[in-house]
Amino acid sequence: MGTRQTFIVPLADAYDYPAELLGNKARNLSLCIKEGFHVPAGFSISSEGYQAYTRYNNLQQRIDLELYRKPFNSMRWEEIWDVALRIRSFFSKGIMPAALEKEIMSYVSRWPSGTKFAVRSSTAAEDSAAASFAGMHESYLNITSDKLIETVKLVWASLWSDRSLLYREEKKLDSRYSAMPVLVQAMEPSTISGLAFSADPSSGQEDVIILEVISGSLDLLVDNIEEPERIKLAKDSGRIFNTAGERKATLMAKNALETLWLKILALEKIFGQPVDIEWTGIEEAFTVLQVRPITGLNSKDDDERTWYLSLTPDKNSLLALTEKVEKDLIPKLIEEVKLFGSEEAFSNDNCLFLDRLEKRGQSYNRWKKIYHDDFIPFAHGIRNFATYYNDLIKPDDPYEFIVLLKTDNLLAQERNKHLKRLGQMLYENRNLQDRVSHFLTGQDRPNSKIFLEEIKTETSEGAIFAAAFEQLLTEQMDLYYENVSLADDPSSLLQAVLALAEGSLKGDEQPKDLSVYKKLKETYLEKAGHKHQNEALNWLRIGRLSWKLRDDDNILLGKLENQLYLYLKEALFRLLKAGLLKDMPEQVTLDNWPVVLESLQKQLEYSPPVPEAPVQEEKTKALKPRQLVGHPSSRGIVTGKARVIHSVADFKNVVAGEILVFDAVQPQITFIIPLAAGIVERRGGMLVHSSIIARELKIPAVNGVSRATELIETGDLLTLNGDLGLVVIGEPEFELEQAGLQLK
Amino acid sequence: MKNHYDEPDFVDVVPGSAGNTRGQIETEIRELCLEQPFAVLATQGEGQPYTNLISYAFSADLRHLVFSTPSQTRKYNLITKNKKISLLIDNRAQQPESINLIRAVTITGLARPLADPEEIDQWAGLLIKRHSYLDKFIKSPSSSLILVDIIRIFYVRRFQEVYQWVPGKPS
Repeated sequence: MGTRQTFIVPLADAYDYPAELLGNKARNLSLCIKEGFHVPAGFSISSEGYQAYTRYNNLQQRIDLELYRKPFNSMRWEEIWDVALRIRSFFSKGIMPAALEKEIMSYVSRWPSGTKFAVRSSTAAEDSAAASFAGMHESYLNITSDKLIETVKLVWASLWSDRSLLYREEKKLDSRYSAMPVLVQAMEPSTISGLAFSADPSSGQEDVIILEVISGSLDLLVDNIEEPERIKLAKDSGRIFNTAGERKATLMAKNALETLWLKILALEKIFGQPVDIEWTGIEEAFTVLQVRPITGLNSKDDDERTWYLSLTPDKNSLLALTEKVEKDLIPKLIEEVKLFGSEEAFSNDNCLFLDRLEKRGQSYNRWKKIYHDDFIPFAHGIRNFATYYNDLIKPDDPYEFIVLLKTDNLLAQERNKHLKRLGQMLYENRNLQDRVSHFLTGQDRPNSKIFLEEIKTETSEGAIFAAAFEQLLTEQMDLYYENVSLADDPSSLLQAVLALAEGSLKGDEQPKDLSVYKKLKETYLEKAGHKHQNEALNWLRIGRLSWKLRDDDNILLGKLENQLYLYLKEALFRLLKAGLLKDMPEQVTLDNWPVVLESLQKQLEYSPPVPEAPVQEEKTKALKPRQLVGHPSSRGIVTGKARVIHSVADFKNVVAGEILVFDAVQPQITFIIPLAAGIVERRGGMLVHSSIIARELKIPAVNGVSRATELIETGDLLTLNGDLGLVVIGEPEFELEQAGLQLK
Repeated sequence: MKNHYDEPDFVDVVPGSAGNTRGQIETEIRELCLEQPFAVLATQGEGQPYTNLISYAFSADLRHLVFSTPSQTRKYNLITKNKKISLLIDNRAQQPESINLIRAVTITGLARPLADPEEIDQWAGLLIKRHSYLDKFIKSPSSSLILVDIIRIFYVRRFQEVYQWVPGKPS
């Protein structure tokens, strides 16, 4: 081999090495040491160490296969999270090359046993003047030497976290050539810690210094556990500004504040621009933990990124959110759904009707916002739990954690059980089954409501069935979904019930296997150990709640939307009757409720918005997909005819045993899944609703197939490979070649 | 069937980013076929597949491909007996690092040696323009020009994504 690689560099020497090798965090601190500042002693594991590890475990090729199987921009965040989860699993299960491990551990042995370390990322891209990467990569504190190697692997893996992948994409940095040096430093005791900015990062003002101070160690501040004291200093004099809302400094003595002020000035001078400093100390003895140029002065991060970051909240904000969602929001939502449902039929009193329409509209707006602000971030609790679980257990299957999350009381499951009972009724009564079958296959079938009335009067079994079916419609199918109310079209539901009776439906979603659940939970708590028992239980609680919520909220909101839908439809009828509307529009657009309300209130003419026609690519026989790539979301291989589902109206044409092709499947419509021999979905992710059910029912599924509903046509012969995530269209044939030969 | 709740636009897919519209795929096939200089030619004889590397040139409409071979070669003989051939063109030489960046086309077609002087002139010109250093070889009386009529092109990218394209077929 060529020249010897540099794996380990003492922190004091790091400044003499290029940023590509040791990263900016280490170099900046090394410069501080050279300039006489106190910095906790430590060493760097170079990017060559990272490369040795990834080479030894073939990680670059594995990452390549995972990350680039689809163009990055065509992946949803959920798919990106999945990719990151798998990559993290590769890293934590990899083997550290013996030479590298020996070098790291022999350096660590310079400290007395029992020393705790901080293990932090230090890449060439982060902490540079161009991009901060603040909070993107992982850092771990208080790590004992026996856990050091495992921790270094996790810091390396965070180079490929969903957050840093998205950040690099946004900054147009090429992930392919990334490598991660790591900084290891001995922890030091501290009584006071904080952040310092030698310019105001929010206003861009450069003649002030902003301090955030807490008592204790810095992680309490960085993890938002403790609210810091904020102090603003004049840069030239070090005097405190006593502006409104700024408290006086109480945590720092005057002398200490002055020492800190001078050190900040000195650091800004050394780096030649405003800096952002993490510091800690005991009284007046200050230690520099990190220095970096302040990036993006005078520029604001856009809201979308802030929102995305809130999707991976830290444990404390998640706990608070859990309380809020469980104890406040969901009960309120259920109450509101109940209240609206209990209100009698549309009032003839126009004022009362308008009032109720408005209430439903406002409720819709309010819950839509809560969904975005609270429910979606809370649903990410699953991911936090998954990470915690995988770090603890290191399972072979990175989705093993799902076993611990499943509950038997999802609203969608209740509905599916109800459907199953109806299927059982038909199965046990052949005559009734034939009657339903005849109705559904009949050419000029009457309205299904009339049909139900008919069978009610025919036999007592018919009456029981019809009543139970109507109960399903009013109690569980009062859902708005994609411009229709599911209760509006009972025949597709009847179709599903009939298929159940004919035995073509797969069984129930399997009830939770209690013994597997118990065993996994025991192992989980055992691994967490006595000390972390509460932490482990808390994560489990968050995970389970968010699992239930991400299903139920769609159903509950669907019910709420249904209320608005029914009122809007009635309002449109009233406008039509009053001659203020030409024709009933094909679609009822919920977001348009304020305009409808106003038209009816003021008796104004109303013209509904014209729905945008979907842009359809010109179909061509010259170019056809032969094999499409997605994610393997439920194992198994199956061949069958494709049924492309463009809207709920397509449900009634579904024949059991077809491969259903969806754009996206929400919990409102998962009852159709058991009819399918296989599922293809454009929306990708291992945790999307259809895939979870498909895995339970052992139906092969591939999701994340870009433009699936456009590229596949109903009737196409599909072969689904749920092991590799492939959809093959058509048979391998040489018909064209044979025909071509005859022509020549 | 898009649900507005679960899919905030900014983290959802960028429209067109999958790069699998008809126009995008055809452009990629065109680039690969016109930019690569070499192909693997598969012929057959007595049920035995047989492969060679060849230097080729494509017509602009991708309906024909031309290459040259001395007429005493095995491949020339096999083509005269069975005109059904297949070709493989790929960019693996440019992408040794990532299997996902390798693109390839598998082509099916019918090959025939050209005899008509006018046709020979036209196609030899195209081949020499693409591989000028081979002019002596191409013009040699012992060489024969082989014209392939393309029937289908199977395009593979990202390791496992496959499309089939029939050049010149009306939409």
